[in-house]
Amino acid sequence: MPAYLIRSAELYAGAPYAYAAVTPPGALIFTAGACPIDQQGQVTAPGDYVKQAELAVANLRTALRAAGASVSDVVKSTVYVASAEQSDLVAVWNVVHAAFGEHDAPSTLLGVAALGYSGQLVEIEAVAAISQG
Amino acid sequence: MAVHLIRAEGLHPTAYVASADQGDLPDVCQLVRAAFGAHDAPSTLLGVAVCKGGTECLHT
Repeated sequence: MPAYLIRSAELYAGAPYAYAAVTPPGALIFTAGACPIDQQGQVTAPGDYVKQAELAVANLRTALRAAGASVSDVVKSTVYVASAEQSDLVAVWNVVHAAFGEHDAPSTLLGVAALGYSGQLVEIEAVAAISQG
Repeated sequence: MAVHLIRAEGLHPTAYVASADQGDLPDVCQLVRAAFGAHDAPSTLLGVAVCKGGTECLHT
């Protein structure tokens, strides 16, 4: 059973994400921050927020699949962008939002001062919920 | 540089480092990894502009 996304009529209707999510009985999956690194651990696309976001999303999908879940099971994500420019955050958000499609689970988008890998601009962490059994 | 670590009961720790210098983060990552040992739970490591200190501050 997928998470049930909550939309309040009392809050701004144009937000590109649900305002809350209710998880089914079952297991929670906590992903590590998905990074724009390849299988050799190298950060890809230096300076390119969009391409780094695309690889981070791909790596998030892989981690979720390994745990028996997919992006449609995500109940909350947090998107970290190493930038103080709001336009960079929006560029990354557009990639993440497209990846989630109609399952626009609650999400938080932040600019941070730095991320862990040299040259890393984007990191995405997510909590997913799946039914047990 | 200040570090604030939330263990989240070992499920998903997040380490916040008050630094804009990416070079400071790997040192903190090693510290956190050593603290968790074989229980290398999913983790997120962030540099932030301001970090809470006080009793929860591991390193200043």
